[in-house]
Amino acid sequence: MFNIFNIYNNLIYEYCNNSKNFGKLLIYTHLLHANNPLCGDNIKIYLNIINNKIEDIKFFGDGCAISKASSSLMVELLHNKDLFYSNVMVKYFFSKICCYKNDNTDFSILETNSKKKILLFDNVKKFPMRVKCVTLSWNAISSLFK
Amino acid sequence: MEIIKYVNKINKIRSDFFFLKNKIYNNNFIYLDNASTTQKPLQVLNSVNAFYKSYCSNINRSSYYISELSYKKFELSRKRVKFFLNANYIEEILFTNGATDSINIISNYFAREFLKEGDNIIISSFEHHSNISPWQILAKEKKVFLRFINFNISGIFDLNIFKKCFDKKTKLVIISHISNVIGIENPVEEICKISHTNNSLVIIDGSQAVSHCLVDVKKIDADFYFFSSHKMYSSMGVGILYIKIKILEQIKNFKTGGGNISSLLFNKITYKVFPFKYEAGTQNISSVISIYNAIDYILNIGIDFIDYHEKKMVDYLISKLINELDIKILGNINNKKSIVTFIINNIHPHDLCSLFDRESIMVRTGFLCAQPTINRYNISSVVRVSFGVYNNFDEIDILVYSLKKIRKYLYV
Repeated sequence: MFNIFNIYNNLIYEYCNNSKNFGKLLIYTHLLHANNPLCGDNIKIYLNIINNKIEDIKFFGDGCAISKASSSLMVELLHNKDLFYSNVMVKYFFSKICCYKNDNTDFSILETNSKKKILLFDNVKKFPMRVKCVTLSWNAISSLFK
Repeated sequence: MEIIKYVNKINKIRSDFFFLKNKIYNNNFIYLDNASTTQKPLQVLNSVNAFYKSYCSNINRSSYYISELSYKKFELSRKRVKFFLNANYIEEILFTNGATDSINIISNYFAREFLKEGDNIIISSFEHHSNISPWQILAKEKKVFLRFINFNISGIFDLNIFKKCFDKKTKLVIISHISNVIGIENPVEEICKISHTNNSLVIIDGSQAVSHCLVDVKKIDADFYFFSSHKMYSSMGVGILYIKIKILEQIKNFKTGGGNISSLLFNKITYKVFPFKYEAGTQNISSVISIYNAIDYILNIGIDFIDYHEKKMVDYLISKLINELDIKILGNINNKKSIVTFIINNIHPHDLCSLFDRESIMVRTGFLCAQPTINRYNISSVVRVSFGVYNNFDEIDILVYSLKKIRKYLYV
């Protein structure tokens, strides 16, 4: 039976400890806060957006392994991407992880490899209490597109 | 106590809790979150069941037999609480919707009239949010000042620093009997003595004390003392609020509705006498009645035994944890009652909670509704183990074994 230990085996070593995506930006145009007081996850997302493109992005703060791994993946997938592509990526993420209904967004523009990486978190759906951890940073970055 | 007798006593207690027979992931429940809520013995469950099966009726409304029976049992619970707390008068015992409701009642119906602009309130910085936020709101409204006493990281209350916090404008002192994070008992008797010498009233949150150690409101000389029934092996939905009678008599206005009105005309209301005056609306009758059974249950085991047993649990857990690398236990390790809160380097508490859950171990993580306390240690999240009378040493061994397993799995 799939259990939560399997999630940690798949995710933690790939992204949680990836220091390349972690840290603060000295120059940034946007600073977003992602906070879950129930579990103590407290993450800031630094973005440097120039001409509608995310030139640089990092995440910083304290959080559980799942929230950090998800934040790290988000940084990797959105780095050097324009806002239109990023918006589609965020929608794709929520359609897979939270099963949100697709509003006819065309996901074919997304890189196949990137879509596969999001599916790494697919099994977290089996543990509803941890879905908030996966979506923490993605919820914060959604505010850019509203 | 002889070991065999001790073990047999704990096993007998465990057999009273049907909850412990449940399994998840093929393992028996190991429930270690008693500071959040306690499980209920069969005696309490049977009491609630009997009410709904045999005499479910409102009180103070009708005069048929089962309504009178409900009322009689309701008042017997009040009498039992008075005995349990060693209060002077039965009128000093009020039933509310919970500890949070009790604090809001004190704040809205007593403190709002009692406090004047420029007064100050001394408040421990180690309080639960529910015993900070109402005072922040009232302070803003009434233009009074909140003086937070900073604890040192041992969590031990410093009476010398406390004495220096008073001036002529100090009117209230707010403190928990035992912190829900650190688990150390505050010297509430001395706190009341010092406060009364300075003409200040004391409001004590007994939520983490009442089922773990002896509470004698007369000896403590508390002006207000409150806690929730669900933290003392009784049903949810009821709070007990003790108010010293000379203070209760000063409170003019209270929650109003059906049940506390003696007569109502369009231009005049006459309220019933206390305590009914202070209990408007339909009460949580089954839960109040079950408090009688919960208190009896605690007294039959013996509060001294509960205190002794939980201290043994705490010491045993601490002795195991201090041998583990990178574990920091919050607060002085020698003074804890029933609560052990800790962090582990490189494992976030939320991850630990999920992985413990897979081992059927239930602990609390996060900031425990006490963010100022957690911030004092420069951390954002912790793991809390809190014992009840039905926990045993085997459960601690399983917890420690699981912790080692998790650390090995995560290479930490």
